[in-house]
Amino acid sequence: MIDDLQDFTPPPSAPRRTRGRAPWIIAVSLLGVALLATTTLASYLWLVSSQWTSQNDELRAEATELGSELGLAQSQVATLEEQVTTLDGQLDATTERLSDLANEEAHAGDDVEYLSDLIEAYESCIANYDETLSDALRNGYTYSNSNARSVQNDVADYCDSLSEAFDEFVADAG
Amino acid sequence: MRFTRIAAAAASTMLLAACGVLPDGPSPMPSDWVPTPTVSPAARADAISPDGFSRAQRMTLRVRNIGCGFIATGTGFAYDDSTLITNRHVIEDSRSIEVSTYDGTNLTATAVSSTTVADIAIIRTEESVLRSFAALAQEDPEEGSVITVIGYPGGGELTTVTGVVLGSTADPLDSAVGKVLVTSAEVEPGSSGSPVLNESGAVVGVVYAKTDDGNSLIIPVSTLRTLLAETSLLVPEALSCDAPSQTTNGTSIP
Repeated sequence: MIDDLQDFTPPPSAPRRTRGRAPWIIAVSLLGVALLATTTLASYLWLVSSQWTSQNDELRAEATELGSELGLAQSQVATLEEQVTTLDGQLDATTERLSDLANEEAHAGDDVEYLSDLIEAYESCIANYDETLSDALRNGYTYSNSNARSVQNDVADYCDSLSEAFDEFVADAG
Repeated sequence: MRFTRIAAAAASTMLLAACGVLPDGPSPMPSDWVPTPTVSPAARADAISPDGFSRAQRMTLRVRNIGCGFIATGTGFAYDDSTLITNRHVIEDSRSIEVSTYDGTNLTATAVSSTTVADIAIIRTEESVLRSFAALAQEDPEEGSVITVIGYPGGGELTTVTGVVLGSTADPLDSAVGKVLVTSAEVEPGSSGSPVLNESGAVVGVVYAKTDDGNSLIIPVSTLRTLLAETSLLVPEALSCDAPSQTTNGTSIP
């Protein structure tokens, strides 16, 4: 019996059972870690996704607003361009009219100066006639018929030239 | 056991590697960004006319010479707010000089000076009302250059004509020292004193005559620059029918 007892060897199942549980623990741990990692990853991706979605919504709203603003601005630009075209036409007409008026005024100024010169010359002409006549009356004895005629002719020629100049001016003025 | 370690290491490596390729979140939206305008009217302020007339038109003036027994007209251009440049023959034998601007504003000349070096005269006005002035080019135009002449041909409306520089020649009228330029721009009596502009709008010469074949003669800007720099060459003109046409003891006008 003792021999039997001494010959007794424990069954090999106990250590085999310990070695068989370890892979399960490792596998479960790995699965746990993997699950944790996957959950973390999913949470992170969900967070990032929601951030992008949120910003996308924000940008989309902003883009829509900008688009409507752009549409409004383009419509205003079109209106303003029409107004600019109209004003350009009016400005052209105004500048042309202003040039015409400036030209007319300048010509009127020329005419005024010319006529002033002519009036001065007429005055001189009348004064010459007057002086010649007075001189002839005062000092009639110094005048022969011929030189009196000569003086008279000189003055008359001068005055005639003025009349011609005036007639020319009137003809030019239309 | 060994396999487990390798698997764990591989999993850790993959996890770390995966972290590296994970997408980042969006960066915050800028709140203070202001776009730069592509076209600014203010940047083109120089190009905008205040009244529809160009700078060249605004600086070009009509000169009326009320002479001793005659009225003549010519053209001049503003050099500064009270000085203008024209031809000597435009202001010759004058008892009064009147100047009018593109918009009809009339100015009276208070002093006139001219030179025998070229057919150039300087007129000073009492009022400093001229607002657009000529920019003188640094160099004479080359043969073939496109030029523009603005003036009052025949004493009429302000007119712009274009042409090209045909070359240089000795002054056929002997009124200028040195060379003058021949251009194809058509000018008429009354255009004398008109500014000749290059494509940049700078003055490259002054019209003073036309040739028999319809070309125009211009005094180059180099001569004009010399005269403006050498004021002793400019002598005051007496605005009177009694006085000689040119005096030599007056004050030169710069």
